[in-house]
Amino acid sequence: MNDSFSSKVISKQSEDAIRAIFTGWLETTSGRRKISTIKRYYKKHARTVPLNELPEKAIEPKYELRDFRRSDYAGLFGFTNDRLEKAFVKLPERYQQVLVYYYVFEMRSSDIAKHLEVNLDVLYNIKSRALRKLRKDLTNGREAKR
Amino acid sequence: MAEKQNADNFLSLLAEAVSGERDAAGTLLEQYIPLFKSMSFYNGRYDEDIFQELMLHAFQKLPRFPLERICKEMEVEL
Repeated sequence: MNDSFSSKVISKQSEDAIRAIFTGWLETTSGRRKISTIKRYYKKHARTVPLNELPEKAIEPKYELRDFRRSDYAGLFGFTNDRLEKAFVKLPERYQQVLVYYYVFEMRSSDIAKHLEVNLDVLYNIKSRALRKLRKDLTNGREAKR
Repeated sequence: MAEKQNADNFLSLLAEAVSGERDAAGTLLEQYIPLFKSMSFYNGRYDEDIFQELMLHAFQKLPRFPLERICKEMEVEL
């Protein structure tokens, strides 16, 4: 077979092209195999926990929602930067409340909107206005590019 | 001349490997060990099991490489 093969004239270009196609094929085939191997491994070694050993609550809530007063919000943040604290205190109460829910309690937007009984669009508006106001205050009236 | 020799070697090796000759397949896949090693990383660590699985799989699937069709399309005679 080798003799008949070497007697053919095969250009370097064709050889390179076929080598490239073969390498690509090998990469695709092996890539798929890698994914299926990893999936198979995890299926076999998946960590299982008996149902009766599961805790009552999978995740303890990080926060307890209660009625806060306007003066509480800055304390909840625990600011270390005086300028930031002053700027925050100047914000309207609603803005402070939304920022606390987002950044202290790390609540999801949908949960905050539900709790405040507002639409998600309204919530996003409040949040962006609050941040813009803070930024403006911290940059002495010049609105930072964002 | 050396390039021509290499070209013939690679294509003849590939043809033999695709036709089911185990030695040729072994020699051919040896050239691709660096590729298999680079693909055997998982979660940032080299995994010997994945490497072996990939080599074995490539070895088994080599006869399915459509060399004849490709050569026909490129008008290269085997």
